[in-house]
Amino acid sequence: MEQNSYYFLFANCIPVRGYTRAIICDLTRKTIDFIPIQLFNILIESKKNKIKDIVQRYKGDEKEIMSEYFDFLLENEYIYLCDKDTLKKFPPLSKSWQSPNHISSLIIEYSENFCIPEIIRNIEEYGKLEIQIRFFTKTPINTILKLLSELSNRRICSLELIIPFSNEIQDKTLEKICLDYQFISKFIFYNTPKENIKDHSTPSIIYTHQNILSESHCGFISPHYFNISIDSFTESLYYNNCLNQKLCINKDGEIKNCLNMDRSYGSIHKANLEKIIFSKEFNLYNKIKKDSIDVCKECEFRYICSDCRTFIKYPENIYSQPAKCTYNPYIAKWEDEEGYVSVEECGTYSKNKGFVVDVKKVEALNLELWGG
Amino acid sequence: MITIITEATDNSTNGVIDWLKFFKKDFIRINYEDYISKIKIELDNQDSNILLNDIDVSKSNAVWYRRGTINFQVPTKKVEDKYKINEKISSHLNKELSKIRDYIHKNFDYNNKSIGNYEVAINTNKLYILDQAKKNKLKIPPTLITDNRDDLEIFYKKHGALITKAISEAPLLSIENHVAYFYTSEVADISNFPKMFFPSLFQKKIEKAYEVRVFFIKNKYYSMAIFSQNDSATSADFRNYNTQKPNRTVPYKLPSVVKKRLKNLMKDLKINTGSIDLLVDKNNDFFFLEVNPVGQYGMVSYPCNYNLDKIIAKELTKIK
Ligand code: SF4
Repeated sequence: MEQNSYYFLFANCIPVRGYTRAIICDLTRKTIDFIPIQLFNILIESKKNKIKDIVQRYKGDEKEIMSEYFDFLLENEYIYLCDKDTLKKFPPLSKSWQSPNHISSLIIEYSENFCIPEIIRNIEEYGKLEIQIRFFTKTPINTILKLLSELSNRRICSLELIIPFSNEIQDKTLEKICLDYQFISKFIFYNTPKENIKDHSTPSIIYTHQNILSESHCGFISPHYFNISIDSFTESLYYNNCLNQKLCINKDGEIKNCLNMDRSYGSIHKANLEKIIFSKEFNLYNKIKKDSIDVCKECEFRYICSDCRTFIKYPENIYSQPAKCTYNPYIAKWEDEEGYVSVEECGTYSKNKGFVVDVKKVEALNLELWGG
Repeated sequence: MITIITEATDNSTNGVIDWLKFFKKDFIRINYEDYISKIKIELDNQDSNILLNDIDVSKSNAVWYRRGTINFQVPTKKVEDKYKINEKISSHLNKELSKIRDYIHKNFDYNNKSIGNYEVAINTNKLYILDQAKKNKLKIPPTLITDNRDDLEIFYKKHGALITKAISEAPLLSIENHVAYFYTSEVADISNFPKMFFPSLFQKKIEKAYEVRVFFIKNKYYSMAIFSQNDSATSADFRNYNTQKPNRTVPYKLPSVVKKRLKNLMKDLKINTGSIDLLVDKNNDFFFLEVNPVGQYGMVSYPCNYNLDKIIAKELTKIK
């Protein structure tokens, strides 16, 4: 490698530091790579040095390792080698998140007691909508088709339909529906006899035997739900990536932040929508970003990981970690990995201080797990 | 009120409109695909008014000429036409309409209230623009238009590897479910060329370090560098997109001399918004390739997080 060069990290490859390790979020390729804290510090602090001069700071084995780190960065096209003058031509990525919407995500439970197209017409005054409609009972295909045709002249961004499985909906019918209504992004059939996922077709069509509409199917945290994109990365820097700009309407017509939350802001039949959407209460959760959540704020996944404010570890503390998280950032282990211990064993929780890590204990654990 | 001239399927227009709604600004959107059904233009000694579908667009505060144009339906009648009378009349009617259309576009440009310009957009000429670029001290790749192998061989001996691309705007060809593009491509094996061929454009292939795509609106310039050199699939033209391993596309800061020259060039060409393509070679020299007044800017806006839709919407609301 040309160690006599200067280097820069491509602006959409963003290093994020966690408690024990760091990641590079590659927002173009939508992937992550793990890097040690040592390398993270170099990427942040030594932006204007020659690679040679950085490597020279180390001796023996360490020098070798540092050299290998740079080989790794170059091979994966995270960095570009250049001369000194070129450095200043490559500014960092703006971290701002800007949206012309007030509401951008709408979840509705299907009911015959209200007119969904009319509700959507009212709500789309407040933004371009990604919509999910959930059906609880077997609904005749004609009802669904009628609904779709009424939605076809709305300015919908995408539509996800969650429908109990029924033999009535044949592949042929489905194909035709997808062709006629291109705003459909996903079909999920639940309670099906067999599992089948066509996740990469557009729209994706998913058959699952689980009853995914039950409470226990929401709020999961897993790498499967990581969202590695500029949009969601920057949004997560300032807002709650689950509840920001979200509005839900349950089958009784109640307006909510989340269908699993008790709090209702009134009935869609009577409420003043404008007032609710701009009210302080309705927007309370929006500002709870990952950086202010216990444990998450020390986790390297915080800007790509989804959040949940409904199922949380300590319901009396709205800043506590999502209850269904199975990752421990203090030792960098997922629950199903060898050596995992829970976050709770790595510190103490108190109501006014939140979670405080036991530094000594974690150090000992990490020594055992990862070596010196 | 803001008037937008565009096409029905243009996504950038949707993005800008979302922001205009957010800023609570009135606008009308005129799509090329939607014929104007009612027109009235009245010129008197005090004023001139242009009413399209009963809306007085001459009173717009600002106009965004995005692409397309204002479209009228031309009446046609199928009759026996031995003396080509019908044909001549219909061509005359078309000319009448095009004068009306030209006038409306010209009117939009009064008082500098238009961003984007119809006349400039339909009259761009790559060769003329290269000439003007040169005049403004921008480097251009040596370029040849020829219809014969001998000239091409001499040019090749002088400059080495060559590329070829369309002289005009290349069309999209859709054939059933497939779309064919005219890409910039490398010229291979000149000895296999016929002695004479259709007049075509050739350029010296610049050994690039990276490409730069610039979107500009008025005096604001937003640039992006595209690194595709490791990737033979994309090395001649980055639109030939490699989805397995997307190119690196990152924010870029133009050196101030280059920016100044580009600004002068755009002033000479009377283009107040568009997209510019540049190449940077291994010696850090900049080469001007072309400017497209109605180019797509989404591919610059998103990866660089520039929010260009918002910036365009803001510029439109600023015009008084
Ligand atoms: S601690 Fe768990 S929930 Fe929090 S950011 Fe990390 S993985 Fe996500």
